[in-house]
Amino acid sequence: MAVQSTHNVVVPLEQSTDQEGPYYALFNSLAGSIDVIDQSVLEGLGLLSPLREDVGEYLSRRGYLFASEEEERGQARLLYEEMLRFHRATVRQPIVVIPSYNCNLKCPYCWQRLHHLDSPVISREMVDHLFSVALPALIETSSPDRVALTVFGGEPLQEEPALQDRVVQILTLGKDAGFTNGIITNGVGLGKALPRIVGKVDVLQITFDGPPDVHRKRRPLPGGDSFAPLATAVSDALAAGIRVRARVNVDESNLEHLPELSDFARSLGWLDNPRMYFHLAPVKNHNPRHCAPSESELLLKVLDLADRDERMRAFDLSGFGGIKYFRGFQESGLFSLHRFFNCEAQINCWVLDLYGDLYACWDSAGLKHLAVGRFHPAVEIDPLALGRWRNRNALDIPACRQCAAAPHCGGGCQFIAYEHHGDHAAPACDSLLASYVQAIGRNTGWLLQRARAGDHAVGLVTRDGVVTAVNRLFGLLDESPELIDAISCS
Amino acid sequence: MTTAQIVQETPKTPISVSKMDIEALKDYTDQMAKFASGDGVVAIRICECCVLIQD
Repeated sequence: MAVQSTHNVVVPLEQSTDQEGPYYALFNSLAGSIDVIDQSVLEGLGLLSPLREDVGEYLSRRGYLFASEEEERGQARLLYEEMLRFHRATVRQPIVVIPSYNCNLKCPYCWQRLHHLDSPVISREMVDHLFSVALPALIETSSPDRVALTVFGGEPLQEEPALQDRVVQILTLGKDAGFTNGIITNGVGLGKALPRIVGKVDVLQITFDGPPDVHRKRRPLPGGDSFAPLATAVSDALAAGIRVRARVNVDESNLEHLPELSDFARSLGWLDNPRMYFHLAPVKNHNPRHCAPSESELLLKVLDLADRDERMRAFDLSGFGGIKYFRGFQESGLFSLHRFFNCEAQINCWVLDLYGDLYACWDSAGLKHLAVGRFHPAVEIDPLALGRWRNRNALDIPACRQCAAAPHCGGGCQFIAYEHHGDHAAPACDSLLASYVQAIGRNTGWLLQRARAGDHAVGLVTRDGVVTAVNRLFGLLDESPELIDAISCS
Repeated sequence: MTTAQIVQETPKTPISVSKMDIEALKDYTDQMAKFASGDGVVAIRICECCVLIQD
C-alpha cells in the first residue's frame, strides 16, 4: 500500500471551475513536480487504493507516492547530500569581509544595532594576511571567478580615511585574485567613494526603504540626510557602469509608500536602466521580545497592493522565496532546488572580520560567541562551532519533518532560530510555503495551459488517466536549452 | 479536457529527482551543471541569494 509524500501540497485552481473542472495543482517540493489533477484524482490520492493503475504509477514516478515513509526519508537524505555537492560545485562561494562594524545610520530594525555592534577599522596588515593566508585556506574552488567577494559592515563607504583605504585595498586584492566584487552599502558615502572604487566593484547592493521622506525616517542619519546623497550617487554609479541591486526592506509601515518610490525611480530613469534592479525583502524580526506580524500576512498585503497599483511592477518580489522559485519554474519548467538547507552558512560561506574572527553566517558576524574560528594569526576552525551551522538541515529538525515546505526552506534562517530559541536546530518559519501557494493560485491560467500543451513542465491527470505526462527531467530546457545559459548567485 | 483526447503512455523510468538512485541523481546534477556553465542570462533561481541580472 503506497503512502502520500509528506511534501504534497494541493492548491485549488479557482479559475478552472468550468465544465471541465474543477482542477487542482498537485505540488511537491521534494520532487520539484507540479501536475494538474481533477477531482477524481484528488479523491483517489486521499484514499490511494481507488487510483487507476496507470495514474498511480505516474504519480509515483513523479514523486507524489512512496512505498513507505521510510523510503521517502531515505530518498530525501540522498537528495540532500547530492544537492549539497551540486551547490558547492555550481554556485559562487560567498566570501564576506567586514572592515568595520561601525555604521552611520541608526535604522530601528537593524539586528546589528540590537547587539550594539561598533568597532574601529581593519588594519592594512590584517587585510594582507586575509588575502595571503586565510583565503587560500578557505576557498574551495580553483576557479576564482566562482568566488563572490562582498565588502559588508557596518557601513563600509563612510568618509573615514582609514576605512576608505582599506576598502580600496580589499577591492584591489579581490580584483587581482579574479573574484567578483560587491559592496553592501547604505549609499550615503557612495558618491565620494565612487572615484576610488570604479573599475574595482562589479555590483552594489543599496537599500531603499521608500520615497525620500519615508526612507529618511526609517534609515535616519543623525544630523544629516540619508536619501539625497544616495539618490545622486546611484545615478552616478549606473553611469559609471556599476550594477546596482536596490533592496527595499518592506514591512507594514512602509508598504503603502512603495508606489511613490516607484515613481521616484522612474523619474530618474532607473527603471529603464538594465543595470538597476529593485527587489523587495521582508524585514525579519530579529528581536524575540518584539511581536511582529507573520511574513505570510505581509506577503498577502504585498500581493494585494501589487494587484491594485501597477507601479508595484517596478519591484521584483524575489525576497519572498516561493514567488522567486515559481518564476524560475515558469522560465525553465523545473524547480532546481531540492535541498533541505537554507543558505550558504550551511555550505561554504565564510565571513572574515577586522578582529581576525571567522564566521559561517553574515548575520552572526560580530557576535564572538557565534564565531566558528579565527584566521589570524593562523586559520583555526572550531569543528564543533562550525558544525552547528554546516550540519543544520531540515531533515534533522524534528519540527520540520512533516512540513511540506521543508525541502526548499531548509528550516528557515538559523540565525533567527538562534536569536529566538537559543538553538540552531530550531525552525524559523518564513513565508515560503505561503508564497508558493500564492504563486500557484495566481498562475492558474499558465498552469492549465502548460498542462494541456503537454510540454513537459506540467502534467495533466484526470479520471481519463494520464492525459499529458511530464517525461523529461529538464522540463522546458530539453528542447530549448538556450532559455537558460547560466546559473548564478551574485 | 474531453475523453476523446489521447491518453499518453508514461515512461517506465523515474521522472522526479526524489525517485532516482544515486547514479541517476549524479547524471541529473551533472546535466544541471552543464546548463549552468554557459554565459548569459541568469534565470535559474536556486538559493536565497540568487537574483536575476541581465549581463
